[in-house]
Amino acid sequence: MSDPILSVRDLTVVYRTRRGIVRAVDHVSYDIAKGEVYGLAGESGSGKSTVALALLGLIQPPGEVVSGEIYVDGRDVRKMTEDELRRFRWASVAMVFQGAMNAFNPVMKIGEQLADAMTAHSSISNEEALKHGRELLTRVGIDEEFAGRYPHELSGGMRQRAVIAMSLVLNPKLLVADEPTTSLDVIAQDEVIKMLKSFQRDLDLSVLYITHDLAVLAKIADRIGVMYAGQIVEEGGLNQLMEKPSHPYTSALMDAMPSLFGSLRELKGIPGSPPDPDAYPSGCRFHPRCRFAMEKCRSDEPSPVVVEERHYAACFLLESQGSKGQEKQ
Amino acid sequence: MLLTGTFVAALLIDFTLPRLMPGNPVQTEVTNLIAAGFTLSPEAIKGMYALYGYNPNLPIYVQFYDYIVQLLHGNLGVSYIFFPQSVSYLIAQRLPWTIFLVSIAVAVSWIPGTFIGMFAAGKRNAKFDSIFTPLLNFISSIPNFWLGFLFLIFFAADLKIFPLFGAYSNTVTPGANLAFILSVLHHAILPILSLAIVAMGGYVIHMRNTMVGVMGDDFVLVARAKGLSNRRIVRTYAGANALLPNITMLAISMGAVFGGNILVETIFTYPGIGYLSAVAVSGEDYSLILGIFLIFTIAILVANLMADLLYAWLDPRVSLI
Amino acid sequence: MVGSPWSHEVLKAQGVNVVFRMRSSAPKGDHLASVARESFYVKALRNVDFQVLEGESVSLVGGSGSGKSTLAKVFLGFLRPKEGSVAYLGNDIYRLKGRRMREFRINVQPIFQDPYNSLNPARKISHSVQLGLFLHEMSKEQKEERVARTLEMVGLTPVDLFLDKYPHQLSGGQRQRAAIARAFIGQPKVIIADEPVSMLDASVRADILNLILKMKQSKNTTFLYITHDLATARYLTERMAVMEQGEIVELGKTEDIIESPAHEYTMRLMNAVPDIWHHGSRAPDRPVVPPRFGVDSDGEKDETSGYVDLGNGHYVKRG
Repeated sequence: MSDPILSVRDLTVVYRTRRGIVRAVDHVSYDIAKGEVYGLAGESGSGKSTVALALLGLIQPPGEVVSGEIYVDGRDVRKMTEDELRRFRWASVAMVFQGAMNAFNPVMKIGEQLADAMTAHSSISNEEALKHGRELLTRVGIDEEFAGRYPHELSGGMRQRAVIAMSLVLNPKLLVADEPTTSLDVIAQDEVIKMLKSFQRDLDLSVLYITHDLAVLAKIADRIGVMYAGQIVEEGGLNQLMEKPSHPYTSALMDAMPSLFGSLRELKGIPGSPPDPDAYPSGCRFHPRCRFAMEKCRSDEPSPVVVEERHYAACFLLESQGSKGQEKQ
Repeated sequence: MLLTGTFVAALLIDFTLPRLMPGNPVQTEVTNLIAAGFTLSPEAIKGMYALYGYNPNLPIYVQFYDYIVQLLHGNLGVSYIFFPQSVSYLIAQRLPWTIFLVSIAVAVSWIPGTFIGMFAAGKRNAKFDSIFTPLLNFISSIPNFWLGFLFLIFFAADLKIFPLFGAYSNTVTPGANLAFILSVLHHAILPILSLAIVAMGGYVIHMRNTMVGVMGDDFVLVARAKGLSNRRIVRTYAGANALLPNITMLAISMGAVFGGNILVETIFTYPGIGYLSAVAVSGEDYSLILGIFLIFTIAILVANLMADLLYAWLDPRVSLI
Repeated sequence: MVGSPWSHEVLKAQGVNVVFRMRSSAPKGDHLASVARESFYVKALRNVDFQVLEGESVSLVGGSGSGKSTLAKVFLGFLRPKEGSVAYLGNDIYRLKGRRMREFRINVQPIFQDPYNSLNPARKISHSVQLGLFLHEMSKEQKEERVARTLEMVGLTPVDLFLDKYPHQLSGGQRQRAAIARAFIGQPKVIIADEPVSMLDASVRADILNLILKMKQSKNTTFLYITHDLATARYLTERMAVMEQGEIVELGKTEDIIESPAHEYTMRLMNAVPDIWHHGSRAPDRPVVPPRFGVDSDGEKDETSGYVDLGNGHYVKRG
């Protein structure tokens, strides 16, 4: 594997609340290679959005990154000064936020919001920046006339595309897309995914695509990490994961997904609901909902085990299968 | 729509109130005059009815029509205390002073108050909040007449830095000359401060709280992710949006400022509408009271209208229709 | 587009038109000019004919702005159409009065997308669920007993624990279970569910879909499902109407439509559905459609064209 554009090691983020310390992200490690789309799937409260904010050094009190390293292109985000961080944001890692409705300042014209990201990072003149912004809007299929409009004057789909255009103004190396298609219907969602995919290919972008919907990742991701209760419980290539889901949570998630093609399968839900981050179960955090839970799962935390090359899962079942079980470094 | 409705309601109250009072206003005044030792002939009483334009024998809608017609002619009746001066003359004479006082007080409290609130929220820290917020709450709940008293006693009576009463000293000639302008400003400073300091506390708290809310919005997070400077985020992103509710707050506070102004003008014997209304109330000058009531209503409505226009101008999502 | 003659039409819309008045967007930067703003009209439903037959499960499928939710509101009696008639068991919904109105309210029950909004946050679950019996003439004890039984059916057990909970104390899935209990408790003839699972986590969604299936089957409830997700529509319903821009563009048995979609829009919807079971090498032969990448649809449609009968109750709008 070539040098990864992003390398996260043992990242732990806590939120200090009145009810105690919440470990939103707990010892998470992952790499994203150049030009790769890494999909991070997780349900509500799994900590997936916190992972994204940590990348940009945007965790704010009461949240705090307590341990770990985040290397973007070889530089540790956690060691940057406030000013270095400000210059690093958007230029190296840009973000497509969830809820395009609220990603724009409602009292500022779209074009200006694209332009000010450029003027904040280089000595480009405002006119140049506005012009470049209009070009990018055109590239995402929005008439440049809309640069002079306010956010509320754009449709939901247009706004989402404008958000994508805004993320590209500084040619970032890594794009973080956090639920970019929630609240869009399937057709608009498909358009946004195709658009991200085409930009990713054309600009050789690396993408961290965060979603609650594992199925969406089948359309865009090269590698997938499945998050549950603040931890990555399984990671592997798209086909590895789809063909050989190895963590009970991943396979249960797949069993819960309806299919449009082929024979009609009965859906099986996962009993219970995702745990609150302030009350994770002991041992393996999935054990109360797991069909295969053993005594050991209640007390001990499983570590990632190699399933096959570059495919890991954190489950005691894999260890007990013996032969292949060996810990991921 | 709402403005028109409020205005009509004010007119109706103005019209109905004196007619609900026991007896009728003219009768009351006749009684007062007789009690004061005047002797009034029946012609004089008839003349008074004519002067007040009040004829209880006409049907109520005709009375209302007459009332409106008189209003449109700017006729608000005749003052009892300042007889024979008309109410509209008295108001026209005093109004500029009050507008001067109130608008400057609002300007010097709202504009800095908004900025202080904006930056207080931008630089949030616990120590600052724990001292600043209670202090502001304390300031904003001081009655402004009390503050006026303190100023008067301390700065005017004891230290003699500022004059005790009036809008300008009688040694200057009113007109466009420097001596007069300086004298006016000198006389206005204490009343303005009594109004402004109290109002500013409220504006700061409101702006700060709105800012804290807006700073949590998604677009502020996006702005931060974009690597914009903190200054730009606070001003152009959070500030511009938090400003809008503070404009509404400004309009709402106008009533309180006008109310406070009555007492402040009275304390400083300032020749504005507020002082006039205090005189009118203590002298039971109904025509004057009602005229002033109408002017207050109009003033507050105009202030609200201006706030709405300002809002529509600043917020692209709001259109005037 | 007629249902089988021997089937009983529970809900029937005929020539329904719904128009919304919208305000045009403002000219840039010039706020005072907005005084002269024009308003324009959007046809949310255009001449829609649609029947829901007794005991069947049918879905209205389409993207946002297709009119599917508007049609649901029309059937629920929330939105009187500008033109056309809407009938429940042969009687115009918008002319119902007295006892018949009550019957309609009892028998046609909604389930909404966001249970957090449809449950009163200040009242206990027992109260909200019992609201489903608001129009029923029953003693207090009978109602309480029915609430307990229904909570048990929807899996909010132990019942005693959930009776006294408030909505904010429940998870998203549990709230939707409570909303389902409220809808089914009065044993309605028809349930109209508008995106009931789209806000739920994937792991929870399947159980709620299964619960809806179980509930409607055990009571033989007629079921109208509104969604943009063809895969869940396939799971829940045997008949399907695909809507685009206020019109039904394709109608038929769910399996027929998925096997051989006939309208371009249906194909586009199908292509857009993410399917974890069929991707990459396992991808099925998805229908081929001309790409429409990045285009906001507002093309005019030929108003005069009718439908082509493909047999077996499968109709497609002539393009």
